[in-house]
Formats: sequence, structure tokens, C-alpha cells
Amino acid sequence: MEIFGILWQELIMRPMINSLALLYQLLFSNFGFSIIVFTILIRLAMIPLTVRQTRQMKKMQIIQPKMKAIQDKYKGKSGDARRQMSSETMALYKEAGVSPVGCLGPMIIQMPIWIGFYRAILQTMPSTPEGMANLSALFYSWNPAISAVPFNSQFIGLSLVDLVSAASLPWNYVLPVVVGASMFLQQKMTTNPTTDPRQRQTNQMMLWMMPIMFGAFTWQFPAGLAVYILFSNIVGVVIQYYVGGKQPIELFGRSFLGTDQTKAELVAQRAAEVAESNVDASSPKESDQNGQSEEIQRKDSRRGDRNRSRRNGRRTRRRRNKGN
Amino acid sequence: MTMSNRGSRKWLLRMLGVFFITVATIGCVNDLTPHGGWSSPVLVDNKLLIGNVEGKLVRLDLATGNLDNGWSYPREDGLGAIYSDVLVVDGAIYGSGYTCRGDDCDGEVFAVDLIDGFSIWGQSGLSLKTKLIGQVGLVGKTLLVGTSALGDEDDGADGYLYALDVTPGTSSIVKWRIPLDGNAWSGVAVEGSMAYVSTMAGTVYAINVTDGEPGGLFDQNPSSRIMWTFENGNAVAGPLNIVGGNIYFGDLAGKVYKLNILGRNAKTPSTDANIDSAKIDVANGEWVFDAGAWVWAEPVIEEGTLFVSALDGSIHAVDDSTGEKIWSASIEGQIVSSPILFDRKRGQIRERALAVPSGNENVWVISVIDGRELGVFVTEEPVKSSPLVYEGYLYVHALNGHLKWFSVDDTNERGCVELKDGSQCN
Repeated sequence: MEIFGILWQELIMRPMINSLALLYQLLFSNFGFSIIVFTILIRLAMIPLTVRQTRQMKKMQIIQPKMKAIQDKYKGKSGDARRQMSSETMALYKEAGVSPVGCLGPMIIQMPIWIGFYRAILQTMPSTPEGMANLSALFYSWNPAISAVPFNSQFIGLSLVDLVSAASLPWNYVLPVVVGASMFLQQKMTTNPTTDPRQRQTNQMMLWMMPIMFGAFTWQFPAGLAVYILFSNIVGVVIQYYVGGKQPIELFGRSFLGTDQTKAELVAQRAAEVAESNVDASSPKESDQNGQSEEIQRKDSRRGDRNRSRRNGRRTRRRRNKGN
Repeated sequence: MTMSNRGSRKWLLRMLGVFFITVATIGCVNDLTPHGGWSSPVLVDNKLLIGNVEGKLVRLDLATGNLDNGWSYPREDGLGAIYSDVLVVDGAIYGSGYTCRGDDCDGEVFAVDLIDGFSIWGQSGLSLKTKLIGQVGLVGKTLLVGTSALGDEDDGADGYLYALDVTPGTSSIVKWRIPLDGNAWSGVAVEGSMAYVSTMAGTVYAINVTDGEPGGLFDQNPSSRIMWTFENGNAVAGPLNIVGGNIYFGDLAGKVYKLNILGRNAKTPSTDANIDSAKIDVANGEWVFDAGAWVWAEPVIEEGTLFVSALDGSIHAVDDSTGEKIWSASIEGQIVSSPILFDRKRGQIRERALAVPSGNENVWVISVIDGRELGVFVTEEPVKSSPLVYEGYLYVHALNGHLKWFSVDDTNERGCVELKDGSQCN
């Protein structure tokens, strides 16, 4: 077990703490800037993982109808039939180039980095004598920031080491809300539509539960951690926009103002239903079809957006003319 | 497996994920809780006074090797963490402790009767919403306490020097206070009518603590008590040591300073424009020594040699007159508290040695002549308090809450008591 502790310390904690401290020195002795820039750098470094995860999720979504068909085929059967179902499912995964843990893998790799990062924030700005003494052992001897300790924890009127609940108005209320909202938006962008109504229901529940829970937890987080989560979410949204091609504002607006499903999602759902009915078709053809249907969805979605903005423009012009 | 089962399992897994994140976060918040255990034993009338890991001041009877069971301060719940040694003057014990829940800290300065263990101020000591880490100082009937920022004062200073009246039965405990530019973790050192306190912002303050004329300048503006400051720009966390008109201290940039306080006190702001400069006055015997790592422990001095210990485990012997290094040695682990000088017997020879507490484990014995390792007192636990040598035994408060004592000559353990409840250690 000790080896894991050493690895954790040497591979995660020390590089993070030293980077944060170095950025602090470079960025005008401002720990808030240090956290933000480091969050951006970490998220950028993880782009290959994010892209991989998104691709795996898309592939999973494409083979959903086939999987459902396999499940239906063996419904209510047991013994050899179940084993047969497993091997058919695995064959399907292999054929589609999907790893069953492909979606989870990148997330699992990211978890220690995130946990390490927020531990690093707390350890870099210790509030107890033991924490301060321990910090000296975590610095690399070449790091010039070692002489800048203790770091100034003030950032835009917030003490980054203190709990959000102890922050002054309006930060103590604004931060949890903003963290929750940014998480909602990011979740919304990463959740893919599904044909399974139960899965859709679960997704819907998670979409709301996670941001609400995290918003509530933020109240008891050190403010530095809240800043980290907020900017991690914001960068996540931007990356997802480029990787997944979803419009964050459209998604956010629709969630509160209209239907919860975007046009692209509805088209995807329809395409999935069509694919389900053609489940016996050969797989290369199938994937081509799916590729085409994705392209159709994108075009359709863009066309829809253009038409909508044209209609809105026309309406506005009409109103202006009436007024005149 | 049915679809609904799979859905619930997924839901359960996600909830577990959230749970683990919450637990990890709570673990991090626990990092903000002070633990103490840095309080060194203080000898009074054949008894040792020590602040234990629960934040209680307890008393060990050296004649029996047992805790005085009916004696502790406070009687009920502890103060949380006691980091500094207590000060005993004229039958009273002075000290401080604190605890924090998140960023909400409760500190208490206590002044306790040595005999019965009751507060001389009434039911309890003076409560302050802050961290109280360093040792207190006493000048006459004025107790001096360095604090961190006060949690109940939003626009207050980052630290204060409080002057408290320790006259029994006083109606007003706080006499005055001076705002400081940072948290005062170093504690207060006193000499004559002057108090010296340093901050984590890197400033050393020399403060006149005489009572002054009622209604005079000191009463109107307590900050006018500041005679001079020295700004080195790096945090000073460890105690200041005053010897022979000089003050010695180390900082978190690894520098150790010798300042001539007699020379500095003789100057006044009106006659010397450089009174608060960061300049070292070499002509007045001042110097800076680079220890190469954070210095937290109080430097100790004997016969013209200063012994400086750093958090990287290095010990340096420095010539007091020049600030030049004589020798360097090192032990495993951080040296957080001050080493002590003591005599040990090797065969028929008595020799002077340093007992150096290690933050890893054990108290190491180092030769004062050349820094050679001479032996070890095996505590098997980290030590972040200074040992005490008395009548052939070395007493040490380990971080796990045990007080152990060893024969100075053969370094063998002779006793151990659990300071929480007075039981013998396993």
C-alpha cells in the first residue's frame, strides 16, 4: 500500500502543487489566476481522452438498436442462452469498434487528477501549522516559489481556502448557483439521446440531480475548489462544443424555455428507431447508414437553426414596420 | 438481468461515485483541522506541564511517573490543539490553544493557577475567534499574545498583538491591541519592557509594552508603541530567541537572521530614517545565514555557536560573531521544534550534545563539536516538540500523544505515559 502512497505523491500531488506554486509566481502572485490557468491546462491536456470518450459514446449510441434486438432475442432465457447473448454482445462491440469500458476509461483516468487537484489546492494554502510544515516537503528544491509561501489566498473578494458558506455576500450564494448551472450545461452537452425510455428517465434525473447536489456541496467546499469546478465546467463546455458540435446556449435555453430535446436529438431518435427496424442488415452497411444519418442530422439541425433565425428576423421586421 | 435492474444498478453506481467524491472532499476539509501535539514539557516543582493532543493542559508528577488525575485545564472539553509551550511565572501558567471547524476558529488564552488549575480570570480564559499558535510572553502583569486574523472582524487586520491584564480579579482583561501585517505564528519574545513578535508576512515588530501615561499617546494610539520593524519579506513561522541583546530567528525562505536589538532600540524613528528598513546592519554585528531550507525551529546558542535546524532535516553550527558556517549535519525527517543542548556520559567522558527531535521519528543525538551522530532516543513516533532533560532523563512528547522518558546516558526508554488519560503506554 505504501507504494501507492508514494506514487500518488510523486506522480500527482507534487507536480500539481509545484505547478500551482510556479503559476502563482508567474501570474502576479494571484492564486485565483493560478487555479484558473492550471484548470485550463489540465482540461486541454485531457482533450485526447475527452475526444475518445465522446467517440465511444457515439458508437455506443449507434449500436443501441442492435443491442436491444439481442436482448429481446434472449429475453426470459437462461443458461447457455445467456452465454450466447454475452458472446453476441461482445461480437457486436468488436464489430463496431467499441470497448465496453471505453466510455468509462477516460473518466476513470480523469478522476485521480481531479481529486489530486483539489487536494493540491488545499495543501498549497495550508491553514494549520502541520499543513504548512508538510508543504515544505512537497516542493521541488529548484522551485523558486518556495520562498513565496504563504501564498495570498484572496481572489476577487474571496478567500480561496475558506468555505464558500463563510464567504461574503453575494459570493456565498452566487458560487453554488453558478457551479450548479455550469455543471448542468456540461452534463446536458455530454448526455447522448437514447431510445430506451428507462435510460432516458435515468439520464434526465442525473441531469438535474448532479448539478443540484454539487451546487449544494459547493456551499461546504473551500472557495478555491469551487473556482476550480466552475472553470473546469466552463472549459468542458467549450471543449464539448468543438468536439461534440452541440450549441451550449441552445441546449441551455431549450431546457428552460421549451422542449428538453433539441431538434438534432429528435432526429437522432428517429434515425435510431429506423435502424432498429432494419436490425438484421449487414453491419458495414449499417454503420455507413448511421454515418450518413448523423450527417443528415447535423445538416437538418443547421438548416432548422437557419430557418428559425430567418423566421425570427422576419417577425422582428414586421413588428418594427407595424410600430412605424 | 432485467432492464429495470440494470437501470437501478447504474443509478446506484453513480450515487456511489458522488458519495466517494463527498467523502474525499470531507477528508480534504479535515486537512483544515489543527491537531497540535507540538507542546513541549515545561518543568515546575518536579512536575511537568504539557498541552496534550486534545488541547488540555495536563501535569505529570515526576516522583511517581503518573499524571495528576484531578488536575487539568480545562476540566471538561479540551481547547482543540495546543502548539506552544506554556509559560509559568509567579504561580500562574499562561498559554493558548484553539480549534477550527472549517474556517470557523475558536481560540482561548488561559491564565491558570498553578496549584488548583482554575482560571485566574474566572470560569474560563479569554475567547478569541482566531488561531492561537505561538507562545505567549509576559512583562510585569501584561500578558502578550500574537494572533491570526479574527473570524468575527471582516475588515480586521491579518493578525494582532494583544496585551492582557493578568492581575487577579481584573474587570477588563484586554488592555490594548496592535494590528499586525500578517498571522503571528511565531509567538512573543520579551526582554525588559520590549516585546518582539513576527508575522507570516515577514515583519518583525519591536513593541514597547510599558503602561505609559493614562490618556497618553500609547492609550490614544496603541500602534505608536511600535518602536521599529524589520521587514525581510519572507514568512517567519518559528519562535524568536533573544540572547545577549540580539534576536535570532529563521524564515520560510531558509534564511536565519541575527539582529542587534539593543542597537535598534537605541534608535528612534525621529533620528533614523532607516528604522524600518530591511537592511542588515553588519557594522552592528548583524548577519544573515542561508540554511537552504525552511527554518521553523528556534535557533539555539551556546558559547558563541548558533545551532540552526531546518525542515529538510539539516542542522548547521554557525559562528555567532560572523554568521559563517562551522559544520553541517542532517537527520531523517523535518526538524520543527528546537533541539536542546545537554550533557551525556560516554564511558568516563562527559560530552556536550544536541538532542534533535525528528518529524519522522526519534530524537537524534548529535555532537556539538562536529555534528557527528552519537546515538538515538527511539520514540518510534514523529516528534514535533522540544525534549527536556532533567536529572538524567530526557522527556519527550511524541506526536501520538505519548510522553516518553529515556536515560540520557544509555538512551534506553525508562517510562511512557499516555497524556490523554494517564494510562501506561502499550
